[in-house]
Amino acid sequence: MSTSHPIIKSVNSAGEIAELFDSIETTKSTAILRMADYYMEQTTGIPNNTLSNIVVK
Amino acid sequence: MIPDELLSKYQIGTWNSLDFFDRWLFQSNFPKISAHFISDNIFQLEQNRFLSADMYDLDLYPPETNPFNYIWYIPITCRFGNDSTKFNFTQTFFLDQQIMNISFNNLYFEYFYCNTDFYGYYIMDYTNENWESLSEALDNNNIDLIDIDRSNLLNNAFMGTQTIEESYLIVRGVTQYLYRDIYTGLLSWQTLSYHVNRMLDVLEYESLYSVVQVKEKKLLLFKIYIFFLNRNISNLLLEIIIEPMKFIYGMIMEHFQNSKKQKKNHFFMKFLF
Repeated sequence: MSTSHPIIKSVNSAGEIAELFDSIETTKSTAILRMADYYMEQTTGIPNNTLSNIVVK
Repeated sequence: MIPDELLSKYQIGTWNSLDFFDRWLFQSNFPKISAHFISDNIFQLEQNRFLSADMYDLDLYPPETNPFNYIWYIPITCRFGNDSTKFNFTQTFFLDQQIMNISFNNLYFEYFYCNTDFYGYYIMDYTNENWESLSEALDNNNIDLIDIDRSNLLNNAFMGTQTIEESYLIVRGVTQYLYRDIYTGLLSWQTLSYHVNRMLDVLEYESLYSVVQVKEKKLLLFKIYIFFLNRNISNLLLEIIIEPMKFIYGMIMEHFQNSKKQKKNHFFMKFLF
């Protein structure tokens, strides 16, 4: 639980920025993007009209 | 970061994607979704924060500190069926409140599976009866449960054991198919190895305090397999080690089934050590 935190969190110093970049920032964010991507495509019915494209651009 | 103006143009179901992302990015943890039929044709989904048994006393983010009170916007696709070899109905739900009841009118289903293709970032909480049906479906090689779904169920079962509600009996149920000849997939083995490795780490730590008696040979053998399964090895090598792995896991299951009563959280300890 000590490593649990929201993906977006306020920080008070530069040191805290480095602390924030852990597996939650990477793996959890990726999993959420994958979920959003899939259901966005399901909603619009348009393939590739997805967040991945936005992020890449 | 993706700008809000851009994000707000996108939709997920009926939700603006900005609202969707706020709930996932500003809240810690992730949801556990309980799903069951409250009557023959009313299907209920209920979301709660997933908490492992040891997290209740050490909560760094209690609900009052959370902007959305641990309610997420959850898209969820479920498959329903009456026959263990296939599903015959699929539906997507958009859960944005704690409890949602869905009427199925004159449709009736024996069992279901949610979070298809493992697209959702959440854990499912099924009733014991539904877990039994899912185990049977896995065992009967249900054609709609592809490799990633099998891994999803296995992962879900292991995660469930970390809560206070579910036991390793469910893990036993959803892993039985692994040592059947008919099953040739590899992904589930990798998922299994990940979770078993985590358990072994805990058990080794406990052994320092003489909580368990380590029988070195079995532990070593199992750890060698786990070591390989956790590496990015070629499919060919993986296929070679799968057969002995099936054999040893079959022995484990047999031993487990012969034990009359198992204490929760000591599943592997009973026959490995």
